[in-house]
Amino acid sequence: MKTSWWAALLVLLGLVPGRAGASGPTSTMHPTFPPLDANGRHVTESGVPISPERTCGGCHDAEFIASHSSHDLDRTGATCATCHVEGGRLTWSADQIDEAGSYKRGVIDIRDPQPRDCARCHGVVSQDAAPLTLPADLDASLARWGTGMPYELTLATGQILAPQKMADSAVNLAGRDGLNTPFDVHAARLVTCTSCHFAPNNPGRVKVDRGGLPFLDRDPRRPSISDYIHRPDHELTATRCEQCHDAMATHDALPYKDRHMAKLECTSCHVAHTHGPVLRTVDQTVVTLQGTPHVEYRNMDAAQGGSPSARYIRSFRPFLVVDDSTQKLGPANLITEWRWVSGSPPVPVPLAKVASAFLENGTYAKAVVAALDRNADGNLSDDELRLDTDARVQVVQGRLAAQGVPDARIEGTIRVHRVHHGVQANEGVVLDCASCHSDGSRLGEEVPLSGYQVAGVSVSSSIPGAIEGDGRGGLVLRRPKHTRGLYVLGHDRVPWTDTVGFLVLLATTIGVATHGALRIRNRGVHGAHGATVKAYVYSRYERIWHWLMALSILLLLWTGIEIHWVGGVSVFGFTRSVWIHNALAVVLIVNAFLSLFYHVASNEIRQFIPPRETFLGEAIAQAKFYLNGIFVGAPHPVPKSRERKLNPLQQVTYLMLLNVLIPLQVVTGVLIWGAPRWPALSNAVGGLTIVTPVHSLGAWLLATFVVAHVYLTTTGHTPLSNIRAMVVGEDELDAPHEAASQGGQA
Amino acid sequence: MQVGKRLVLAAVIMAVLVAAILVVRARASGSRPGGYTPKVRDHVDHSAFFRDPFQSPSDVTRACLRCHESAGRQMLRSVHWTWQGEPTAVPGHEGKVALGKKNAMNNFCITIDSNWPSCTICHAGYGWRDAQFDFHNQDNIDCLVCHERTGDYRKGRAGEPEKGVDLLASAKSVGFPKRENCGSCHFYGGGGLAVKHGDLDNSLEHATPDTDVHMGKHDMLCVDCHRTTEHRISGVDYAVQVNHDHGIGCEDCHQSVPHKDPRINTHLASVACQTCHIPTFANRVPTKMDWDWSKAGDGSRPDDVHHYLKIKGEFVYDANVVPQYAWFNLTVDRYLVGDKMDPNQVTVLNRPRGSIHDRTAKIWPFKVHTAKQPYDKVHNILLTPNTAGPGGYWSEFDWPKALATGAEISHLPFSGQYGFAMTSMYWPLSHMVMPKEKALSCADCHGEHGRLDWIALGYTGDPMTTGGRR
Repeated sequence: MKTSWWAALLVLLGLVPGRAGASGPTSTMHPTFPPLDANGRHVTESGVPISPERTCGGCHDAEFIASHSSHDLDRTGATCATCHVEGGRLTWSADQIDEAGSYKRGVIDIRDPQPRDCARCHGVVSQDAAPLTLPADLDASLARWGTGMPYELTLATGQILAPQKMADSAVNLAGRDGLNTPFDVHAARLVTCTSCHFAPNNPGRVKVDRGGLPFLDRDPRRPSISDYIHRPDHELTATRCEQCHDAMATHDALPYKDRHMAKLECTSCHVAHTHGPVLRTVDQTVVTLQGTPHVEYRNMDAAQGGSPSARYIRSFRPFLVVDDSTQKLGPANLITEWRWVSGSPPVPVPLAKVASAFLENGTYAKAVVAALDRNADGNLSDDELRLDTDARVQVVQGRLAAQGVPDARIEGTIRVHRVHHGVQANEGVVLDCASCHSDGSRLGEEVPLSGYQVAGVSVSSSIPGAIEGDGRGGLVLRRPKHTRGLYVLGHDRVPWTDTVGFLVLLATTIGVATHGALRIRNRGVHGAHGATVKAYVYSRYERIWHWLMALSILLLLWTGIEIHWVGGVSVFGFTRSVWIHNALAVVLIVNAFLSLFYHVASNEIRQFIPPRETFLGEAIAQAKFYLNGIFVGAPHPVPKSRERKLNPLQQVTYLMLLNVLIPLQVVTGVLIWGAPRWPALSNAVGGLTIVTPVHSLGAWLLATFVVAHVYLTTTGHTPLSNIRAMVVGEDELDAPHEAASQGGQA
Repeated sequence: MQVGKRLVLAAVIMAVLVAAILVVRARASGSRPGGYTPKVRDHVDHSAFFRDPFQSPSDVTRACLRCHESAGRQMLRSVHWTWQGEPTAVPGHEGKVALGKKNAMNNFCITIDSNWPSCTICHAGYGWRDAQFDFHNQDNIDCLVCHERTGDYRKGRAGEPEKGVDLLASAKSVGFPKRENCGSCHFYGGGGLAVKHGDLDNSLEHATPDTDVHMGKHDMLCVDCHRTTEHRISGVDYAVQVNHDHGIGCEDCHQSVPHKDPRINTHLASVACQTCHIPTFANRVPTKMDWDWSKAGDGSRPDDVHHYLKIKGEFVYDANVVPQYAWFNLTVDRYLVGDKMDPNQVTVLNRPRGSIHDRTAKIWPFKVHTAKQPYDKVHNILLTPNTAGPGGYWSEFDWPKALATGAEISHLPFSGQYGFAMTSMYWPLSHMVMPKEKALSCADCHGEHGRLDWIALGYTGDPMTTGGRR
């Protein structure tokens, strides 16, 4: 009945190119070998179980491998077969052995480790096309917490290594339908575990060595493949991103990219979230009925029976902490752990012992229930399983003593688990400047540590910050707002500079407001101003230069506010403000240099230099005028003329402004902008943590100047006459002085 | 200085105009491929033009042609009318052949010779019931099948409208062809829904975005891609054509480099767009994958259109089918009626040409339909049975008689000894394009679970590690 279908299929398999699902897993490359036991005898003779070390050791140097292995047998329980044999175990049966005593060709699939082999111990790793689910023994695996097996990589950080798109998985992820990127982009591109974690003496990976000799660019002598097969170094590499990726060649859309690359690990942005279950607390001082420690998750509901895949998981944003070895910020999770230790030096009490102290015949012992059961319902619920009072601790101590652990005590630690997998690319990378450059920055966010505290135990962390109660019985790590050695625009500030600057601005504003109010009150008091004469005081260039300077300073102040105070009013947004601020700074610098040239070349610069002999007298007179004379209609002590447009106080102010404050702003601004290019320059004056607050304080002072300056321009012939003069060029000067100057030199 | 100032002014205005034109052009092209599709949407309401009921379908045609004078001449030259293409060279054959549905052999219902009344149900004309059909008579053109919009127009034997069809209502409703018009024939090719193409069935009429992204998400019509001028509809069917003349392609609209990821763009020289963007076919409606004529004639088996019909034989249907992949340079080797074949091999009726060494070839996805159909054991040629015609197999279940009649009409020798030989046909897929989130990704082709047979395609191994052909 079906023969035509099968015949067609068979013929098609032979003739039609590109049929589906072609490559099979079994490789027949590996030579045949006899199965040996631990004593080196053939298993068919001795009946003793097969020993991978002795069997594989017939050709490969097993002693060398064992002593050069990051997966040594004692610590991990991994044998050759765990990683290199399909199925993870080396077995034999009589029909697999040929007459010569060796395995028949092809019955054992021996090959490079595949991701499913690593998954045996290292977390949720899957290359199947079937929708990914969380393993059913996820909760039970917690009994082996601390040994690294088998899902610790996932549970500690939320990393899931699978090529499929998160939207196609069967995990109950929040917002899953929108997560159209793979769990891990490397897995999706078939960059598997061994692509980055390989034997360092693998000749296929050894880079060509230039040799460093003048007569030799490339050494043709290469390690032999057979040497490698005989003695593969199993201290596996841990490849860093930059060994394959040149981040500076791309990332053109990232402003200040060299600064970012110098301060941040790639994973800070490329693993902005993980989507697996992430632990917060592992409390091995108590056990559940399944014999596992009591745990709290950061982003997943607690176990309530049923499949782990059904539990709702919210994405987890790792905490950015400084990696001590690289001094860069990188993503990590912090897990608070409590466990029993005994003896001196302290040795952890095995969980099985704790379980036997808690459980009798599969349920909790009566004494334990009596001590822990708060609501007296006879059951220990999830939030009762904690030793949060001394009394409860003592009860368990006693029971442990009865189990043969006499001096049990609890110790608590906080372990940092760094995130290296679950990498996203393209659409999966969150490009949000405000996640760091804002008040709510990731850099200072507090880390919830646990929902409760174990009595009498203090925990400490290598991460800078204060461990405090969170007000609900739990612990939280409150990190300092400022990361040492970093000044993050929009997030960091030196508060006293803002305070002082604001107070100065406020005082000045109040001062000018008061001064102006007094002048208004005394308006009718003084008499007419006296005769005036129109004169062309401000040349076209002076006016252009002045208003260009004014406009750029105002906009620089505004964009500066947007940069300094992300989260306040946002007209341009952080990124655009930075760009505009930089552009205007260029405008201002060019404007200033052109103006300097003009003033020197035309000798107008003499306007700014006070005459030495009469300076002090005139300055005091001018000050008296502002403080008193102006209210009673007194004449200006230093009248304005074309030759002398500025009174001494003005001259001093502008000298300080143009020669101290604005250059200070420009220099500090250039140092901030140039920090990526010339880090040595900004570091020479103390780094951005010094330079940037100076720049901010200077900005406050400039803002103060703007307020005072605009007010003082109203002290002319009429309140608006000075401003008008700066627009049209013509001003009304006091007549006698104008006549006097006309008689003099031009 | 006046002249100078004027010159400057003129130059500035020119510059602004040029800039404006460039900006407008840039915005119109590039990022929106839809900018290139002429959306044919004009519709003149014809309901007021016709009042009296039509006596015959040709009356309708004459009414159309009264205004649309050139349409008749255009249709007479159209492949939808002639069922024959231009004379072209067919590789492996001498001279030029005007290949078309009229004279091509497939491995579904095989040929139309002697079976016209049944096959020409889908002819864009009325009355082609034998070889004497007048292809020069414009009155026989069927305007309604493509242009009517009531949805109640049905064609019967020889393309005549079924009894009860309201010609007046159909005539009043005419407009540009919608998906239902094209699909009324093209979804039912091979004798039933979704039998033939694999990527054309009535799920495209009310398509959802993940049935087909063009027809579902963007509500595009067939004619938006299959652009038509003067009733010459562009597009190629490799069952009735051997090259890509008048063909269309994705690049007609998607002109700029379409992917942001440069890694994907390195595939464009070797992999057709359809390969990644059509992961499976027949996703909503199963399609026929195998047709065994040799099993026909057994009256004891119940008739079931998806498994067995006494008149046709045994079928295998499948859904969500992973395509077969082959190098394809948009030409095929064609088995023509009368060619010799080897009954011990699978005769590929339209084998795609191309290879890993052919720079014009890319890897395409295909539906491969296999069949067992009658052949002459002495002459080693595939035979053309009379199935639907008078005295054909569908009425008398007599293979020798059916094959003899058919052979005579097709001018083929028939020795009397017949058997059933295996054949296959390749149907390149271009419809049921998935949204980009569902496109194939790296692990679907490369790696352990990949769906491509690299060695069969001519590579030395997975090109991810060994390097591609370029």
